Amino acid sequence: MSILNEVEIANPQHPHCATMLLLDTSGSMEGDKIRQLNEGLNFFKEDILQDDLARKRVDLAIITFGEGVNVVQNFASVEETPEMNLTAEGLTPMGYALNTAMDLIEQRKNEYKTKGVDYYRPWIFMITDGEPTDMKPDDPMWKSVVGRIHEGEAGKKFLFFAVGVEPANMQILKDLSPQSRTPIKLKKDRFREMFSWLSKSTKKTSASKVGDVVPLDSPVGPEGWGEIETG
Amino acid sequence: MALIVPPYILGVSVTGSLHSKEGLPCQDACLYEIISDEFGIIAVADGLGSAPFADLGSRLAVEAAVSYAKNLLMDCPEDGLDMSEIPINMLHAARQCLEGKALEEGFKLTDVATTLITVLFYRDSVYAAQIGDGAVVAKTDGALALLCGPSNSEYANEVTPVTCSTWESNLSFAEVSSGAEHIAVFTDGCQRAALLKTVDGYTPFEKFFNPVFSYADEADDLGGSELELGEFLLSEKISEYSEDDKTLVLAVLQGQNSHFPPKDIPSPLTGEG
Repeated sequence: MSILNEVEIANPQHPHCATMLLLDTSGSMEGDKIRQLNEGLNFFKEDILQDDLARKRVDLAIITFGEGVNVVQNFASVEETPEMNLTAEGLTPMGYALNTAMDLIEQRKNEYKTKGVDYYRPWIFMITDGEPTDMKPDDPMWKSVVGRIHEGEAGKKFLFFAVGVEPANMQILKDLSPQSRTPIKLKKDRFREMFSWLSKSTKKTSASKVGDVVPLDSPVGPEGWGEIETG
Repeated sequence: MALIVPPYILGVSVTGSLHSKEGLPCQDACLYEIISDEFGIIAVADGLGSAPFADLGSRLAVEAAVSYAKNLLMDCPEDGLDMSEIPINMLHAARQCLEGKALEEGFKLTDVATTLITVLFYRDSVYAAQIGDGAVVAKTDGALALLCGPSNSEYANEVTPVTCSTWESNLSFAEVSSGAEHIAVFTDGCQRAALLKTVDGYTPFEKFFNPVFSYADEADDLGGSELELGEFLLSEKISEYSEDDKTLVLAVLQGQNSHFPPKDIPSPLTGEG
């Protein structure tokens, strides 16, 4: 055929879609909640793997906070994500976990830049049933963490989503979240639906053109998995 | 095999797999024309995916830009022209056309949001202007150079379209005063294939452009070559890493190092992709 067959590709890499799951595994998650969380995570992994584009583009990181802050998986392809069997114990070191999450995102973006990889704006998706035990509103750690989240969101460094599981302190989550993104309260026993939404949103993002605005399904409403407290 | 005498242009826009799957039209558009055997004008646009009439926006933009330059070049004597102004005025003409259309149809200007690249070449000199992403690459005296390219914003394709109120402060302009042999103008769907990306920015990839420009040199039938170029853009090799619409326009100039001496050609070559 023609000389066009000799063409080589300058940058044969997919754009990457970094997704950070930040999961509360404190003692209060014991029982049904941690079981549903594990099931939801395993469903999320399988669902992403079934999508040709998302499988190649999604980089997943998982951090738990409970008995310490654990990086269960630093950013890697979903294929490398192990079967999830998290256990619930300990306190809620949410502040330290949030800092770790934002550090890992910065690190990952630097790797992308060095390798010339295009990337979508990373997501931090946090699920908790409590409130932080390592910081309190207006103490120095709180101020630093909240400042970092708000600046990160405003500076388009990442998108921050917070989900509260009963009996989470929704006011604390609201204060942590950027003004433009109200935290969502998970309806009872809807972990799977939430992960299904997350998977769908991630697939939509990873199939979009980098920089485009991607409309997401509303997670709230009669059919949704969450609700927003307006009062 | 009778080769075509330069200058000539070939180019094509193809629908990416993402839009094909969703049944959406191609939102890229290109238009080009050779005037008086010496001038070439090229316009390439990429309608923004978030704009409801992106395909209309990109098409109107290239039509208005080319029509402006064509009228000007046919009416004015060469020595009365400031050629460096023409590509920027082509952007202005497109912007005015989109404003008029939005007013006439009662929709918002952002509904027809599109990027736009405009190029004028005269013998072996090139003048290019750009708003948004995509790029213009020229081969001059044997060396590749990125004349205009995507900005270095964090998320590669965060673009300022010609419909944005701040477009004039975001446009870029470049020129090659002599020695240009080839030009390639393309939308961001081809970016990952054609440009190397490093922490310092973008550079044209030789192993992409050398075969592509050789292909353009060897064209003996513009229609057939454009069809083949379209198949090439749709091939797995090029679409594997970009499911976006793709446009690639190639011009072969009467460069000083060209294999062909400048000659009079009886009729202008025109094309539309």
